[in-house]
Amino acid sequence: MALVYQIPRNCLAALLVAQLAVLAPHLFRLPLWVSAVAIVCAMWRMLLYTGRGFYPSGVLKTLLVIISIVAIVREYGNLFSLEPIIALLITTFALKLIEMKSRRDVLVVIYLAYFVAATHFLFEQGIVDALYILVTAALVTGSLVALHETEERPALTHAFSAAAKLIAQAIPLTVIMFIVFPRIDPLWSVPGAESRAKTGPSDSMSPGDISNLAGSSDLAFRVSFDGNIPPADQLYWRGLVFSNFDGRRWSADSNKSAEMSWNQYVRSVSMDTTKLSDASNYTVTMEASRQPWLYAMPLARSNTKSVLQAGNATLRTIYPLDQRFQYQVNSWKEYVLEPELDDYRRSIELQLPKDFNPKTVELARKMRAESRSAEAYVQSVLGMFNREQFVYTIRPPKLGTHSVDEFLFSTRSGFCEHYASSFVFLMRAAGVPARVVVGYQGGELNPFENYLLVHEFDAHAWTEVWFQDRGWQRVDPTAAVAPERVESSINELLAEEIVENSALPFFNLRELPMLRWARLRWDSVNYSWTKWVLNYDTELQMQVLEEWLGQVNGWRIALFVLLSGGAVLLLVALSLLRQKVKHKLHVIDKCYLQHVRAVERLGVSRGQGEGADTLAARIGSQHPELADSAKRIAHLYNSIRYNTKPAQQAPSDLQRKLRNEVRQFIRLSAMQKRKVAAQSGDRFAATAS
Amino acid sequence: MVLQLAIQQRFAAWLDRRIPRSGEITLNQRRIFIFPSRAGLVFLLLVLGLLLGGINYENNMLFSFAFLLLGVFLITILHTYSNLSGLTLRSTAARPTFAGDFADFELVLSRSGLRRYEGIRFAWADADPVTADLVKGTQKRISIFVPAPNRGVLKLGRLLVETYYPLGLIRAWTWLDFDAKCLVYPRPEISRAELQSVAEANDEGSYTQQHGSDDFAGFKDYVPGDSLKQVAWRNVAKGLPIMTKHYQSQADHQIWIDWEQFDGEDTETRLSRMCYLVLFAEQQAMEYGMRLPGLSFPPAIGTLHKLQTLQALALYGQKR
Repeated sequence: MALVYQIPRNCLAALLVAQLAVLAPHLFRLPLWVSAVAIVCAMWRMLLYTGRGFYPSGVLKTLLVIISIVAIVREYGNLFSLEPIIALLITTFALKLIEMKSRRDVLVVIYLAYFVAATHFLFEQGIVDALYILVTAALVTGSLVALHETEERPALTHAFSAAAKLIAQAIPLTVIMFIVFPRIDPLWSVPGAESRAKTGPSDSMSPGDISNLAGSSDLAFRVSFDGNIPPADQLYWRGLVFSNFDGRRWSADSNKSAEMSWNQYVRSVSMDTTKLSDASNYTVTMEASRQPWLYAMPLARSNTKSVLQAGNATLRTIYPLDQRFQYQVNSWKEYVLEPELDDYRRSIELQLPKDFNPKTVELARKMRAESRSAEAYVQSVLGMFNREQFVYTIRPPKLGTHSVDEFLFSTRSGFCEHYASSFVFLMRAAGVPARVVVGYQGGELNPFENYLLVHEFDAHAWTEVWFQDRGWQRVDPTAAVAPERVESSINELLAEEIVENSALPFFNLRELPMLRWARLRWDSVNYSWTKWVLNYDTELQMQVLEEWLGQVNGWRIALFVLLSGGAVLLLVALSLLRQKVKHKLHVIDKCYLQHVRAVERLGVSRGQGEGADTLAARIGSQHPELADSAKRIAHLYNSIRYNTKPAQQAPSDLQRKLRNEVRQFIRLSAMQKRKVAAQSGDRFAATAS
Repeated sequence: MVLQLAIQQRFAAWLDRRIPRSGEITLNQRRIFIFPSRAGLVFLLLVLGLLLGGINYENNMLFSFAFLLLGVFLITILHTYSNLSGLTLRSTAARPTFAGDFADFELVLSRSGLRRYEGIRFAWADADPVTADLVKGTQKRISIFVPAPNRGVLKLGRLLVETYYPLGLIRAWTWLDFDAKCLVYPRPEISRAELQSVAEANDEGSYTQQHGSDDFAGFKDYVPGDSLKQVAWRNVAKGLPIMTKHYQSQADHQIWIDWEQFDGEDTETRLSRMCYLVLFAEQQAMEYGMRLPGLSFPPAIGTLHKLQTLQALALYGQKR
């Protein structure tokens, strides 16, 4: 007699809730049709749950699986990078839901649910995400509890609350393991997330690129300094250096010279750092930009693992940043970068497209001829930007083929990339090596944790000009047009324009004091989370363990784990083994017991199992003043508790009445007690006299 | 084979020392065994997978998630353990049954505190396992129906009590020896010829069921199992000891259920037919005597007589 296994209904209900929670954060990342499949499967299961619908046949299932795999491969082009794998995982998860019949199937679905929930962390790792996944884990665990419940018709909440308790008890253990588990290097390389939009400057710069970033208030990176934060006009976060110009687009020098100059760079730095002093040390925490560039103040050197130093003294990583990345930087304010420029390098830094912007070329030659030196020429160009009617705006007019000519001689309004671009053009046209630098400028101070927040709207383009012996020197033509740009943030400077321009309707609300406070506070919490949790690595681990244990060795760590973990388990065990459900008194009984206590204060004690009526009678005989009140209470209590009289009033009315009566009785009895005391006092006084 | 047997014997002996035979057992750490279930081992693989993900992606959140699940696993050990510990089990005597039927072994679960016990599975011999819980009240009775294929005494080995609650990751179990036994009567088997002869015997004796029309023969001491209709209630009301009234006619109409009657059949068939006749006579309220080799029951009627004769049939030829 084989009984057909029935999945507990509560388990199914819990599983549907858990599945929804698990899938929700993925739905926005997945192709629409995968989300649709997941939702259809959940609804299908819902139909099965309510007793309608049918289980898919074997052929249909096979067909669905094949279609899904083909569709995923078509969607992503391959199957073995992170997104398609997760899409496949979720499709499997959804399809498994509708064929689930046996207990084993349910286990497979639940384990998959844990896995899918965890994959959210490959994309997001914020505090809110962590809390959300914690709740999700509790929901999934709840369906596991519901699978093993045997009570008849248990409440769904019971499984969830049992799971929540389990999760809550597991959290201290999680923390202990998190602290002591050794962080080892990756065992093999894994496919990363690719689909996420890249943020921040890209590997080239065309007019309008930087001004697009100005509308975004997303965080680019955070910087915390070991010492004082340098003044605003030094906060130039170098990221990319562009030497190659095609008339419209600036891009990095793509040929071999990068490697060559890398050697030169190393030479120049190693030569100079010994002489240099007064480095500022700071830690940068980049948001996941999906780009490999890192930002630092010149002249930067980083000892952080997996940070590369490129030839033009910029920093980068090997792979694009899929998650927050933290690196240490030393920067020297005084430096000489590439004091010598050989012919080849010079030709690169002087490269210009032929037959472009003839008017500008002419102007450059003329102005250079009028200047005594390269330095003087730079000054006269900056002076021109400053003197003449140039406008700094986020919405410059579109430019045609001879973009620099048009900008310099007709439109005369542009954003930083226009100034940087035309300035470098003017330099190169006059034979002065120059290049465009893209990065961020400035930063917002978070007073709660004393660090800088650099946002996307701080993106900036400026230039570097090469002088004999002095090497590359920063020149910011935007500062000549709008010096305030360097002193204050772009969104203060161009607030109105940005608000009109921006897709964010509440952009200006950022600066309301209350919201600003809340924003900075929340950011400081997030920063601590990043610093202490997300970037908890071997180094930090050693630091923490050393501080707690005095000295890090196997014995101490083992002892720490045993003691702390043991304490947690012991507490849980005690709470489990001592678990006793409190005997809950009914409201009515509580109320009546108050009355009984008042009676006892009067010196009338209630006998074992004495009924309300007899007690009332005894009170009446000893304290005639309270007789009526006591009788009424006894009557009310009995009629509620034992329903001696079919009450016309609603039970809640009677309850209220009883409460009032008891209150009154307590008052009366207190008066009575005082009276008795006074009488005995009189008697005492009488005997004394 | 020999080795396996030796190991089994060793284990049985160890178990006997550790959890000795008893009528009532409260489960405690001495008696509860605990180990991850298969689902639990797969769960650990899942944790390992997440851990590898954490290492390879250098993702501290994946680490945390893996540790959280590992923590849940560890905590569950305690929960599963506490789902058995403190539970008291008592086995009550099973009512005799007939061969080919089921023996109803009753277990009484009780708890001293108000701790919840859920999803506890009881497996005994060949019986379908029973899953029970103890959530409300302090006591619960559950029946385990064990097939009783053969006549004689059905002795059960150890009772397996196990639980996977709450997550199915951990199995906590114990083997309890309640010395549970059940008397199994022969399977009643109808015999036309014998029924015929019994019916004839009744006709000859003009048996009548109306006791009132018979001659009163006297009082006898009440024996448990006597019909309550025959009790002399009037005397009882006067405060005299309980007696039963006896009538002449009953004594006249007797049948004998005799081993020798079934000559030519094998032992079990004989016993089965005799068993049927005992039940038949009892149902027809006729007095019956029974003869087995070396054993004889004088004619009588009543539950006690029935039980004695049936027991004799059940135990016939069995080693003590």
